[in-house]
Amino acid sequence: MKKHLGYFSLPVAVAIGATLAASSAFAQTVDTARIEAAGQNDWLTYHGSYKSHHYSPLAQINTSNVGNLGVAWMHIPGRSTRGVQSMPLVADGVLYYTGSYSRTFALNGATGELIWHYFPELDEALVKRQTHSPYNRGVALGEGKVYVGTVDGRLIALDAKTGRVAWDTKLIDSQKLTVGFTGAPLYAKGLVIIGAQGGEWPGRGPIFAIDAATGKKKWEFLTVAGTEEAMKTWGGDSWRTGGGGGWMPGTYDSETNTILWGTANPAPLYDWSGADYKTQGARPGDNLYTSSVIGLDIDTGKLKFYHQELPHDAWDFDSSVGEFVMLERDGQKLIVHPNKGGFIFVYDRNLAVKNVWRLVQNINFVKDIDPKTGALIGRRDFTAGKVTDPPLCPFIGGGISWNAGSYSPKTGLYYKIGQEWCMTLDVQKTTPVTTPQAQLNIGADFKMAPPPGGEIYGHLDARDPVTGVKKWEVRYPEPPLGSVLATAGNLVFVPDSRGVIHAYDAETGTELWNHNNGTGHQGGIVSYSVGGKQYIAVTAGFGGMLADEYGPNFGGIYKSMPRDDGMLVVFSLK
Amino acid sequence: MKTILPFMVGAVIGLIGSAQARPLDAIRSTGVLGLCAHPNSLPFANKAGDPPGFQVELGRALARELGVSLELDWIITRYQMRSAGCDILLDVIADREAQGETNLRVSKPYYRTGVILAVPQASKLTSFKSLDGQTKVGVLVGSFAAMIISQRRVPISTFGFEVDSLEAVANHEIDAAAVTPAAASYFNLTHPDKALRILDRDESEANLNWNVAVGMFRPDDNLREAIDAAVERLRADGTIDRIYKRYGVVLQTPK
Repeated sequence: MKKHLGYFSLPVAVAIGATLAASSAFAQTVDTARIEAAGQNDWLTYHGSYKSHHYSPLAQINTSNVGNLGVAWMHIPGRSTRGVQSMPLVADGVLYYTGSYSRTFALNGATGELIWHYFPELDEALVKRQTHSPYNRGVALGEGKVYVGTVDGRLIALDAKTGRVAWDTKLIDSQKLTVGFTGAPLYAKGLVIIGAQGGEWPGRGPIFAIDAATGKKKWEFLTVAGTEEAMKTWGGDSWRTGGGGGWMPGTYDSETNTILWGTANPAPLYDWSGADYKTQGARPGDNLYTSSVIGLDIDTGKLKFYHQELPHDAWDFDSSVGEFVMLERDGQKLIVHPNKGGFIFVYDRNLAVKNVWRLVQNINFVKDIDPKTGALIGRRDFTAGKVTDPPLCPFIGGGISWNAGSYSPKTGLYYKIGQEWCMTLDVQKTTPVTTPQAQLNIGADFKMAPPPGGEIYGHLDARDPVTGVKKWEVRYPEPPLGSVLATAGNLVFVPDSRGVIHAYDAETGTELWNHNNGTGHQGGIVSYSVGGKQYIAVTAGFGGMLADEYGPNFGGIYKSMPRDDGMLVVFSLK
Repeated sequence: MKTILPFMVGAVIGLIGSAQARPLDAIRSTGVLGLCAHPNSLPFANKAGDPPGFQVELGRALARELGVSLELDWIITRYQMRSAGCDILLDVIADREAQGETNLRVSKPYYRTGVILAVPQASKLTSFKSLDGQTKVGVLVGSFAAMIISQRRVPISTFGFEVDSLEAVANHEIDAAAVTPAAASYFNLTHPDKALRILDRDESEANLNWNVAVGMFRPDDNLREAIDAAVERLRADGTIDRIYKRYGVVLQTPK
């Protein structure tokens, strides 16, 4: 582990104040009420608060002074295989974040000084042969503990003060399925909730609830055929190998006592059924509850309600990505949730569809989605063979990727990255099986391609979250892959793929500041305050399933960009 | 075997490293032949080592024939062999088209296999043709057997692991398991109390039968010739038959 103090060292008095603030943190505890309240100085859960706004009410850094933003400090986690993808959390001046292999750090939020670190001992042989590994996307905080999942199928609780292991619970037989946990857990109501990887693997994608105090499993929900009703939607008993999972964190709705979670795609990822998908193909039927948003009773884990965004998803446009933005409009309490296919779904609090709108222009896996019912219109199901004319849009990376957008209650706008790209595809009926177990279950070869008649690009949109009406847009030559942060300083921060972090005027989209971090971004960004000073923390470091496509497809800077490097960079006013 | 489609590489393009070809001279000068194998796939291979699996035993025999030692690299999917940097893979389908984008070159075949039915001892099933709408067959997800059997309107039950499918037959949850002869034979060897009846392969279904060879990653001519010669010697002196027999597998002559 290396640690660098920034060029703009803080005055001694401020530093001492900050240290005191950090050390006093442990007198308070992070609990459900505190996450619900989302105090402005902290960032207590992956999505910022249960409302999932990814928004900071801090305004010390604002449109008039953002030009004076500079690096306060940096931290290099080391061993950053496939980059740094974590969303930092902050409580009472202490910043917690993870690197690859679930290496967990507690740092003084003002100075970057290391308070403790924890490097879990992993099953390295297993990790080496995993595909979606060894990155980690963050921790959860609650009851004086820090919770982190591991790629070898464990959930670990650490004492927030010391980093010592409080409990370590094995949840998945990773030796058999080779999957584990890369997503951040969610703390709510005395439980830690975490979803497994699984989309392309022959499992049943559980979401687990663990007692935060003891580490004992309280319940488990199978995203593949987790109810009698769902089992009927998997012909040929294909539920046994259905994939699913919920690999990114959801949120908690205290008003309905519900865990809201997005689920992954079914396996095989691409199907050869053609239009007869209800009766033919590798997994005949709708394949519940994959590519869905689900509401689970937090006390029992029982399914309360759901909406399957893509019945029989044949395109890998799953619903695990993204936030559950809770807001009110005309007296109605709504939830806004993006789908990887490039559509934004608007629900009521029981996940009944209220609207669906397009963030992305280049979509042809369906002609449309009915905004009243959410039904797919003109779906494009493939038989075996090549799909080239037109190419399938969007690309497998999604019209929307897994990182988060941001909603500003101040402007009323939803800031979200869209990705305009397509792919050619060769759908395969089967694979020659020469080992006695299924392997990575994709069912197609594919290659990135430009949209018909256009270029690949990415864009940050400022939209009405309910109607989708666009106020402004900023374009990028390659789609940004990191999360977005809006603040009460009327700023929107976008860390892009080339390594530049941009700050825009939240009302107009005018760029006000940028800084080159020197390597691509594909992780989280948060804001917090220590000792009366506001900070912006962003992870940098490229690599992984999607980022690895950038070098071969875009060349340029991506050819030399390291895949196994990264850091946390923290900014403040000079 | 023309209808066997290429092995998928799709979402995993990014994992493929820039592997170098390994000519025979390089293997001999380093004294090491690299074998990629799945770590948890008995009777094929087993990282835990007891038993090591017939791929590991045959790999050692091939390395001895080349005058080098065997180095194992454990992979979970075939595309990982490039970044692993190994030289050979065993039990590959001896068909260039089937290897598709793996770029594997294949040796002369050393046995014939495919998909068979394993049924309870008392079952009335005698062949694939005797399957009907009342018989439920366990299949491996994404396999040819899954497609071919379901197209005949025979009910299927999809499994991720052949041994799970065989267990389901033994427990009378399904009527038959469509699996490799190796998996079924090894199941019988290790579960004598639950031994199943293994039906003969049906050569009339081309996609359920294939020859097996050594797969080589970017070999030079010398390595191909050396592997072919080594396989021939090990077949002729009965080494290959003896190795597979230890796992209950009786090899059939390639066709």
